[in-house]
Amino acid sequence: MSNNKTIEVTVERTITASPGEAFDAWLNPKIPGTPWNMAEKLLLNPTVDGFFFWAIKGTPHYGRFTAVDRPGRIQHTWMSPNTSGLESMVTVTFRAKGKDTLMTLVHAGLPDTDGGRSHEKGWNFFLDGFHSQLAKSGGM
Amino acid sequence: MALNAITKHLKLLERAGLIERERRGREVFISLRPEGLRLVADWVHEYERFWNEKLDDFEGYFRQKHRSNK
Repeated sequence: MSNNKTIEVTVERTITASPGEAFDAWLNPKIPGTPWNMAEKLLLNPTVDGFFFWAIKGTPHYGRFTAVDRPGRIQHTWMSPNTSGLESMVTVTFRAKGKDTLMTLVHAGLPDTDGGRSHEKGWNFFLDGFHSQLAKSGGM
Repeated sequence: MALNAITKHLKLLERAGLIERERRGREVFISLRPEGLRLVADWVHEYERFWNEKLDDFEGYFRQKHRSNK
C-alpha cells in the first residue's frame, strides 16, 4: 500500500433531460444512480464547503463540495476506506447535447493499488443488492 | 467478413486464451473460456465499475421517465 500512484476514472452517459433537470436529480437522494440513493445514513449539504456523509453496508463515505454551479458542474472530494486515506475528487459536468445532456463524471486521485482492486467482490455484492432493490421498487 | 479474416480473428482470440478449439472429425468446435474475460474485468478499477453502474441507473431512470411522459 506504499504505492503513491493514483488513477482517474471517467464515465460518460447521455441523459434524456435538460442539464438543469439532470443537475437537480444528481443532488436528489431519491433518484436511483445517485451516490446518495439508498444510504443507510445520509447527511447532504450540496453547497460550496458543505459536507456529505453517507454509509451503506457499514462503509462510510465523506466529502466536501468544492463547486456547485447549476446547471453545469458539481465537484466534491470523496473519502472512503477504498481511497486508502487519500482525498479523491469527483467532478460531474452536464453539457447540453441537443435536447439531451452529456453527463461526464471524472473520479480523480484514486489509489491504484492491488488492495483497491481487490474490493471488487464487495462492490459486486453491493451492486447486486442495489439492483434487486430497484427491481422491487419497479425500477424507480 | 472473409473466411481468412474470421480464421485470423479466431487465432487471436485463442492466443489470448478467450476461446478453445476442439476438433471432432472434420468439424472444429469453438467454445468460450470466460475465465480470460474475468481477468480483464478484475483489472478494471472498482470505481470504474461503481460509477458505470450508478450512471446506468441514473440514465435508465430518465429514459423510463421520458418514455412514460410520451
